[in-house]
Amino acid sequence: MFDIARLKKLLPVAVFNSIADNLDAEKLQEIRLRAGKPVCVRYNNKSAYLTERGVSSSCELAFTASCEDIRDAVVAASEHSVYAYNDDIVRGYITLAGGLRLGVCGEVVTDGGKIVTVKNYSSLNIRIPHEIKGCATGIMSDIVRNHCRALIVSPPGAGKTTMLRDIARQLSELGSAPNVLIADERGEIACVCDGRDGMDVGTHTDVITGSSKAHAFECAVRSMRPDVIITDEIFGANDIGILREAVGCGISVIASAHSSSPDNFRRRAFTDDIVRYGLFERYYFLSDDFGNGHIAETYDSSLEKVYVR
Amino acid sequence: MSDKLLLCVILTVSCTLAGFAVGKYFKVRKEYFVELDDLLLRFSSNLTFTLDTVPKMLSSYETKSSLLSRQLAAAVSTMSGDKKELPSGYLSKSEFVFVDGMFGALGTYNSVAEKCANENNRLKLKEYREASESKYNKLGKSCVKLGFLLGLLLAVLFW
Repeated sequence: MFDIARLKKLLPVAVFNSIADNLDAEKLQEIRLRAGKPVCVRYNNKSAYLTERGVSSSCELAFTASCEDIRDAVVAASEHSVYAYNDDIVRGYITLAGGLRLGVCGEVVTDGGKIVTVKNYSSLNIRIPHEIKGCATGIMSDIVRNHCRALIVSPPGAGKTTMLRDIARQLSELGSAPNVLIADERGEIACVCDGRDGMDVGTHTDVITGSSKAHAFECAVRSMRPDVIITDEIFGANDIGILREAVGCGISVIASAHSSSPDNFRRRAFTDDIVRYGLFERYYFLSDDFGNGHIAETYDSSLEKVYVR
Repeated sequence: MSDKLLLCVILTVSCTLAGFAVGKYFKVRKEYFVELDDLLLRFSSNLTFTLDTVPKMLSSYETKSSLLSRQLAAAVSTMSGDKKELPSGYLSKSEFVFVDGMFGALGTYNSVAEKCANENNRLKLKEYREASESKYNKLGKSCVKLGFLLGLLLAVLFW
């Protein structure tokens, strides 16, 4: 269960007190602070404003975040050591203990075309991880039957990472005890902190945290002998190349990708390559209409709709 | 007669102790600034090599100065979310403003900007350090002798 006290050092006192006093940590998904604008939360799958008395659909009484609030949150998230987290800030997010993720927007500072840092932070989004054990139970037999090559697709916040985490846990507990390796680029799946998994990802699961997919996959293939690699948010041609290498080596890959619907997914630049190379046997499209991790539709390797019993 | 003698001894010892205390004051101030400069020097190398977080670096720094030790503890506590006032101890107002601002700004920039800020802090600190060293050399070392002589002078006058 998420410990709400972890938010204390990140948020202005009044905002934290309102959350701690009025909201259920298990239903809290996101907190958004934008300079000079009302503080918003995503709570129980709905967006709302945060007021002194909890969530509200009206922005009139909502807290307003200042530039200093946002800067203080970034400094606190970086353990008062922005220089140590600069690479993360340049990538646009800081991952904190327990899998909390702080997305940061601001003015990018470049030097010779290379991004050096981000200054004058203007907004941030704190995403809160949740563990829903058993949310993948409905598709586990289908995944195993299809050689554990699956892509979980959904819009942001619909439960892709939660689903991947549960798939890792359930695969790891299978009778054949396959070696599962999580390439956790953003530290959100296993939420490793000080070398220990922050979430239950199974007994036969190895985790590489913070590394690029290319490095993680290379290390995995060369030294860890995984049967299945699980990774979050594939994006662009580079990631497709890495997945091809892994699948070509005989390793199954279960991954996630952003898209709001099968039609939109077909429009993504990398989709043709994924289908052409047959990287996945199954595509599961999630919907947050019925809560996190609800499978709305299932598609086969050629992106034809199938019905799983 | 014996009363007078006792009074003279007390006066001499008291003035010597007072001189010792004043000398100690100058000494601890000098040591404080020397150690603070050493801390910033270590921070500078941390920025180049290990990139440890500020609280980790401050916590692991061993200092003989009790004021600096208390200040480090307060700074680490504040950075961890439990806000504590930095103790000012024997620092002057301008010195304290500088030290307070410096601890507050540690770790708020990327490494390039942090190095520049750190060098500026060290330059400013150099003024305070040299002033404290100069005072210690001029006054601090001779305070015990001066106190003793003052005590002796008072004893002669009271005799």
